[in-house]
Amino acid sequence: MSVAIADLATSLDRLIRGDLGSLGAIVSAEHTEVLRAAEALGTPLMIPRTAAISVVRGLIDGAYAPEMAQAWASFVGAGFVANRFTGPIRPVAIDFEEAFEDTISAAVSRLDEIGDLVDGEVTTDEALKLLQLLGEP
Amino acid sequence: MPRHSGNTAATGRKQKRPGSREDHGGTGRFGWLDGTGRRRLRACERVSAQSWESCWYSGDDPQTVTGGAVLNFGSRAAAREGLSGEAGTAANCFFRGATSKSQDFQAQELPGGGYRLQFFSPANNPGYGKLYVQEIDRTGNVLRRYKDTIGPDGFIERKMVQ
Repeated sequence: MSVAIADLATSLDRLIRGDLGSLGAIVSAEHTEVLRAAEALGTPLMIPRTAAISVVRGLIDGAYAPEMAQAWASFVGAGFVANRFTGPIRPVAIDFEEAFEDTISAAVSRLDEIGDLVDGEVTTDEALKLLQLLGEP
Repeated sequence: MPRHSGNTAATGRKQKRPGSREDHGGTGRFGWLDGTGRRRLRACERVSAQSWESCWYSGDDPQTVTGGAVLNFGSRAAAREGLSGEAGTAANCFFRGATSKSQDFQAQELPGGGYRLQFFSPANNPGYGKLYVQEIDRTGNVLRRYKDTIGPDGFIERKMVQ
């Protein structure tokens, strides 16, 4: 495994754990490289509940810009970076933590709406409700 | 053969472009929600009251749609398990993105063994909603993915993902 793929695998691992500091590395990479990085991790990618909590909390705290939260949600929901590549694309297989799949999915879906003309803003109150949905007090 | 629940709709129905003349006028209007909040997208009423013509909204140019069978799923869970093989894996992932409010889960067969997958989610803003669409090939590769936002007056915007 090349150093570049190893580094990308590390970034991917951080990203699926809700560390959006790794978003840039994934967004700028070729999709084939992301697929190789996912393979290099050796285990199926899984979004834990804590990742969604981290992103929503970062959105509330201002640590993450709304656009970053949307980009994260889009990537983990679709399995590829939006509008970067043309032609058929093999998504990266990304599971959600089984016990919280529906709540993680709800959070991801809502965050992915950020920027839409309709429902394009997630207010702090709504974000707090998402945290509650995710089991955070 | 795909596994599915619900009905298999007729095929080869004419598609209409949002905003086309047939999609407006009369008592019906494309993308309108009735008093109960139920979406009225699939039933397109013609301007002429003399005849009705049902259509299945894809949001696509008519030329790109060749009318494979439409599989209607009664629930998100049914949709997630509705297809088999690699396409089924892709469909499971796509329909996972639906919420408890989502409805009208469908898979339309495409030439070559792929599917157009879609579901509708009412927006938080009453009268509005979003149609999520993903086209996949027989191996589960994503050909196109987008969502259309629809309001009381019809189509508002399309956001492409792929």
